[in-house]
Amino acid sequence: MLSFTITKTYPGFTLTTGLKKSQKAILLCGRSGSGKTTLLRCIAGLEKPDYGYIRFNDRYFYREGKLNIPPARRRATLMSQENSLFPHLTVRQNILYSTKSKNQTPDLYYTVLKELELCSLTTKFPASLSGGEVRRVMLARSLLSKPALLLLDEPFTGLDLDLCRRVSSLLDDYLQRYHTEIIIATHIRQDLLSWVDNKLCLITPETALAG
Amino acid sequence: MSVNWLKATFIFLFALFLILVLSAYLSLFGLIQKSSFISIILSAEFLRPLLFSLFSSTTATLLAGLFAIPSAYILSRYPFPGRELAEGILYLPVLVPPLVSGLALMVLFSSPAGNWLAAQGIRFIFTPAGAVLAQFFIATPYALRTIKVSFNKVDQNIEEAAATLGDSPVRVFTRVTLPLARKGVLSGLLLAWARALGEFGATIMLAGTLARYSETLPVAIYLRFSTGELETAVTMAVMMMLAALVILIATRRFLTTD
Repeated sequence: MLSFTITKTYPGFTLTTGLKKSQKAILLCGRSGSGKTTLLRCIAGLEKPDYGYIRFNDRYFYREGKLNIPPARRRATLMSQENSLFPHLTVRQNILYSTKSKNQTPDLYYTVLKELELCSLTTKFPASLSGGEVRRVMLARSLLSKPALLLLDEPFTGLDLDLCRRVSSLLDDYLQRYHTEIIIATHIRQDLLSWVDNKLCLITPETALAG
Repeated sequence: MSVNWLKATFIFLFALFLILVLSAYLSLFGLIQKSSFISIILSAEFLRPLLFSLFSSTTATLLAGLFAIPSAYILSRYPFPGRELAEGILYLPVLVPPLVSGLALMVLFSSPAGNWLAAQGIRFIFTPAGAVLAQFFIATPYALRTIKVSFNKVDQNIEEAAATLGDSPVRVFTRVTLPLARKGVLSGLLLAWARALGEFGATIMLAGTLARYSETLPVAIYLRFSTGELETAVTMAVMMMLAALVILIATRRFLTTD
């Protein structure tokens, strides 16, 4: 269960937002530049808020500048907007990057490959992928890490309508199967996330307090 | 038909410089006597400084890597007050004449602190360890510069992705940063090795010219030249040049095919 109240200031921009009690999935809306990415980065531990707290499952990630758990120990995987695939690894190695067992490939790997149409790309390196393929591999890698908190920043960018539907359906199934909470920041294809709408409180970073 | 004057001028200057460098080194071959060549390169007075130079430059390069990789990472990733000044200080051995660096090291290790180290058995003045230290001191900034540029080129988004996937800072460095900067790191170490192998000024100041003890190949060449043994000096110089060239080409091939 995620809850937070944070303030983060950059020159000419202040993000103040909060969430009292999260649901299993959250749709994070807001105009471009409203602070969606900043909020996700604060939750992932890549940015440090100026004030406030971030709490997840009775554990504080951040509290009033005194406590700041590093990203690696938050179990909060962030799929960023930029291409962050490891260029020296193949698609398969990227997807299985955080898998503990090196001998056994998890069933989820094959499911995700099929659903995201990545089967023919596993031996390729990121440099030879298109923008949409990069997004799908990044999503697959995030899912295979089985995080406690999955943070998706614009997951539909570069995907056609059919693939957007499949991604939405895959995320819905993933939520049913694993103990994961998801925050999806997107300004497109929100209509495909009706399953989120049923379960979450909708927030935007400009909103002072929601949930 | 129009003439591209810019291109023509650049090609002319490029060719002129290439000819100057090539003819200078090739001129050395003209002084080699076939009759004495084999006996010189098989003599102890050539092999001893050659082997010592290979040992000291390789040791100096390993030490350079030990210090240059973490230092380059600090300079590339962590902004701190006075970073530019600190970086400037680390590049001083490149900017000042090697003789000055050697003099500075000699004065430092002649100080009370240096005397205390000597009393503990750690001696650098007029010792083989001094030659290694002088080469390390001069060569490290060359590695530092190249390695820092290669760390700068590693996209921090990729490092952040590894961190949110559960990698500790150590694992991010060993699994992502270092493999992505691998070619730059190897190039930097290669450059440092070449610089250490050819180091003369600082080495002669700190390690002296003690034959059969702390004599590197460049020092041996200088000593033979200054005592009028031109043929021996030239043969040594040519062999050193060929050895450096072979290792350089082999390493470059490794870097490009890897």
